[in-house]
Amino acid sequence: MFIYEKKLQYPVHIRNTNPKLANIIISQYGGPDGELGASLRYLSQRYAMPYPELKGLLTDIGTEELGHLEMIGAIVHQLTRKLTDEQIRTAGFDTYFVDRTTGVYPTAASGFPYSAASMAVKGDVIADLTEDLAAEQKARVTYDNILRLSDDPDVNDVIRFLREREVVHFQRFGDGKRTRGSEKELLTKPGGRLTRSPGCFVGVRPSATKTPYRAARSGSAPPCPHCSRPA
Amino acid sequence: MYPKPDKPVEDMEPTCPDTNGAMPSCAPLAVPYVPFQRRGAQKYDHSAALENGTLFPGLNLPFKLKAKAANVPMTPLGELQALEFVLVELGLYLDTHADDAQAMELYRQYAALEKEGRARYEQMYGPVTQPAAAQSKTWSWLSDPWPWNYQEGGDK
Repeated sequence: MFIYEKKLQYPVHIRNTNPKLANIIISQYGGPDGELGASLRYLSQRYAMPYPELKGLLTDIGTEELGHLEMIGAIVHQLTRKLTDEQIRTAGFDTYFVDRTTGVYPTAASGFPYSAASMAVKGDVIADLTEDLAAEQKARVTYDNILRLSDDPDVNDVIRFLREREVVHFQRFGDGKRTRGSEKELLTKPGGRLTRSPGCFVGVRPSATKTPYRAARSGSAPPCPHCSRPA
Repeated sequence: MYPKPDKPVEDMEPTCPDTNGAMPSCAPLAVPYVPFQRRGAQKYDHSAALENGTLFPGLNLPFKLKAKAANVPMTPLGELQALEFVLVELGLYLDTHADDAQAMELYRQYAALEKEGRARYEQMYGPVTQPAAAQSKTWSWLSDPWPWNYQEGGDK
């Protein structure tokens, strides 16, 4: 289950009203690479994930993304909470305002409402982890683009933090892929038996592959097809 | 569990800097890699970690247009956010480096600090989680401001 903590992960203090910027940043709330999609992707991928460290990683990163969703919502709210009549009409917020007023709605900046079609749950270790690596990079680029478009220092402090989290999550999913989502998976039949020599498991360091090396030398295991040296 | 190395990675081979990580000795085709983060990487203190968005200087890779980190004032809330951030960051690290005893010890130390920081904050500003409202005379859970309602000049 989830328990709410009545605080943000990182402080959001936006002083200036800027509806045009809110119109851009809303994309990280409900856009194709936004925080809503991120949390749903990871929390949904957990069920078919067979290994404890990857269940943990998806749970923890998925939960953190919910905190980021709240931060993006706080930015959009604080950018629009003191709108003047003039700003409503002329600041580029009118097409959002007519439908949502100053409510925070999960939509892309284009106006396309949040769609689960922008994320995937494949139920396969390598496919899902590779999806997650790509997702973190796409979110990182979206934050790059927000920094290209925004000149509000209060907003940019928060965006820098959120962008850096994408970099760290990418590293963690990469670490996770090295522990499990590797050649071992590609070589495993549905029944769980390895079809070929496990001599060059990815993520298994040289010292941990002694047994397959010995097996290869005694002729009981075929050479690893991917290694330049015999397995 | 996944196979463990006989000895810590940093003792096995000539060490690379933090920022390089470790690659597998045999890297087959058709499987993309992210270098595995080495143990014993340099770490920020909790306030610098929150400001930079990571505990690890080696992972701090900002965009050119906003390279400098913000200065987050260490108010009781800022302090709690920073301590809790280290727990989140170390928690993710330990998910993929579960055998790193040094990181586990650091997690223990920060968990104790976070507990203190939380108690200090709740005494001044009210409950962070609903059960903590039991410590006040009335239903303090509803007291303003809510996290997204930062008031200018206010502490939150």
